[in-house]
Amino acid sequence: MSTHNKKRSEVVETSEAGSVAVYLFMALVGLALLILMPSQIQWVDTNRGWYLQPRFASSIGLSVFVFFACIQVFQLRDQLSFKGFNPLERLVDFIGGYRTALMASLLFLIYLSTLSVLGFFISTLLFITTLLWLSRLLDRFWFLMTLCMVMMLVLIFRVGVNLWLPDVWLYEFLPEALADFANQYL
Amino acid sequence: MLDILILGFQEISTFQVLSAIVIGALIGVTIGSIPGLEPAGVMAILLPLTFSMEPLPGVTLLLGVYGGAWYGGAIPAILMNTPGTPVAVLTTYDGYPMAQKGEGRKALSIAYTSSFVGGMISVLSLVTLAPVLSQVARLFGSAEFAMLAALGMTFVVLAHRKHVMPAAMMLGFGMFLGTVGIDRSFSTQVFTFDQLWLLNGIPLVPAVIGLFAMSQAFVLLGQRGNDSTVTKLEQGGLFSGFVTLLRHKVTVIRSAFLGVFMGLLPGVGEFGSQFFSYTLAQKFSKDPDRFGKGAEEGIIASETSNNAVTASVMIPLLAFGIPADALMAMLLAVFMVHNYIPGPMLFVERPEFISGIYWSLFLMNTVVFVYLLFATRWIVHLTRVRGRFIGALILVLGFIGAYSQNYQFSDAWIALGFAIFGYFLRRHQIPAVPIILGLVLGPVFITRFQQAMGVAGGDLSIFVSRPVSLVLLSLIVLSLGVYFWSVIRSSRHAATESLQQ
Repeated sequence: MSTHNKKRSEVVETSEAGSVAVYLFMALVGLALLILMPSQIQWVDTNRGWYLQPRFASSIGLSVFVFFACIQVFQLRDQLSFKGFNPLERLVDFIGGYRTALMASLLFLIYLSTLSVLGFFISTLLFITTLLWLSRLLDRFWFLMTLCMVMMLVLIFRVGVNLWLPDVWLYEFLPEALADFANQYL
Repeated sequence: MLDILILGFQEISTFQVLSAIVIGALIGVTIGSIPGLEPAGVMAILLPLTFSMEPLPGVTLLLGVYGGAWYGGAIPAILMNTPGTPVAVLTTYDGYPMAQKGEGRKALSIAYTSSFVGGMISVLSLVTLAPVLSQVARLFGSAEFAMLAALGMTFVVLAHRKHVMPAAMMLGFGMFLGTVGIDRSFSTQVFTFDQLWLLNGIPLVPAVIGLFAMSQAFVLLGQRGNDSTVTKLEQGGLFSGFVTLLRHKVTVIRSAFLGVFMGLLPGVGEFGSQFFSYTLAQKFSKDPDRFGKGAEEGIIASETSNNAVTASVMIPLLAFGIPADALMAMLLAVFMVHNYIPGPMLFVERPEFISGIYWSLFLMNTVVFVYLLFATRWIVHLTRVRGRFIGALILVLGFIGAYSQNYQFSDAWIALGFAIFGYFLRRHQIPAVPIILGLVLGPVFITRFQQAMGVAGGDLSIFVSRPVSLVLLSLIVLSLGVYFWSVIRSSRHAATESLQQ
């Protein structure tokens, strides 16, 4: 096989997905949901047919989910080893791998909660600037780009589309006319 | 037919539709030109915005983004050796070597023209095939629709080739998510955990935004540096592509028809069609050794087949109401919001809407093509935008998209939950697309299955006693059989090879 063809087959037939721990976790989640089913979906006494039972649809979805997760666990069983397993070390590794996503998620949650305190314009500017600073991209050029983008977002969504957001605490300190304007557009 | 086409032309001759075509196309090209930014994510963000628009402009805007991105993806593929969209990966093999030889402009011209021809043939296939298939759909009852949904789900899973088991697992998870909320038959709660916000079920828009847009933002935020170099464009026109295409007519036609056919099969889409077209082009080429080193036919095969899928992929959606991929599932959501139920009745009740879609796709392809011919030198600069900046922007747009549908912050939290889950799946190379198709096709399958069983008085033989249903069921069994046969054959082959070694 030529190098080019090898490269192409690598693209099309990518490597085996996931690890056994991931599938084991998913299989356990699926099993837990199946066990919870009697408490989460009421059984209905009816003679209208078994296929109309409210549990029918969820059972199909969960069964497919658990069945294929178990098949994956079975196929990758060689990877399953608890020898030298250190849960704390694994947890630290896991968090390390998801550092960016977790940090961005945390900032996103803070961003959501600051929207009603600082308003859309200031919150968004702070949120993007912080993300750029954390990802080591913040300099004068990218700050100006951020400022332009936030102004564009305000123009498109707050002025153009009229996106409604709750009244902002900070704007209460402004004169009434200015506060109304800020609550409507900023 | 002519009357309907005139009606459709009148329908699109409004400022709203025309501006949706132009804006959608421009956004699409921009997305395609920026490596790492995928049309699914942007379509997900735009989805709630389209709900408040008239149906045709809403659908047109999303189609513009969808179609335009495949065109734009060729720019970084050729000039940076980085596909702008995943489906442009095979364009890099011949486009980038051409650019390095100082033929970047020629390679771009071939890519644009191939995409345009593929796109136009695809629109023609939609115009001719969709009404015919919608007549076939008239013969369908609940049993047939249930089997069609099952066939769609089977194809979506099997299209994931080496990831079939994880895809099936995620499809099951999507089907489960589709059942959460209130059961329709007896109005009982299903896996709501007594949470009010789950009573209406898992909202599709935040789920799609989280899985496709925000999870991608996490990936982009994790990127470091921007070492990719953009090959400079030489002087000259971008119109030479037509002449090159005329020299390779057979490759163009074969790739276009393969793209149209693959578009009809749920889940196969652009990637499958591009791979088969490229392989066939190399097989039938007079100079197969040039492939991967700057073969014009390589770019033609890849780009023509990519874009030949964009309109034909709508045929199963319009004729049967079955979305072939996650992007079509988003279009289905727009249809449903406006109470436009895809299927044969839509062709009877709303011919102007269907015809308007044909015209929109035709215009979209023309607008994108003309735009690219004249604006490439400026679009090239977009390839330099840093992924981290786009990632931060996507998170804000993700919030706006998720929040703006119901003006509830809880929707943004749901989107964030799906984003983390989507990022987890990306890291472990587990496909997320089957979740959305399970979420959309799962309830279709269950509802139709229950209706069919109700009609048959609980007798399962209804699925084999009706001819069309039997054919669809046979196709499911056949495609599964072919898959398992190929798995057994390849494992035997691998065992033989290891024994020989």
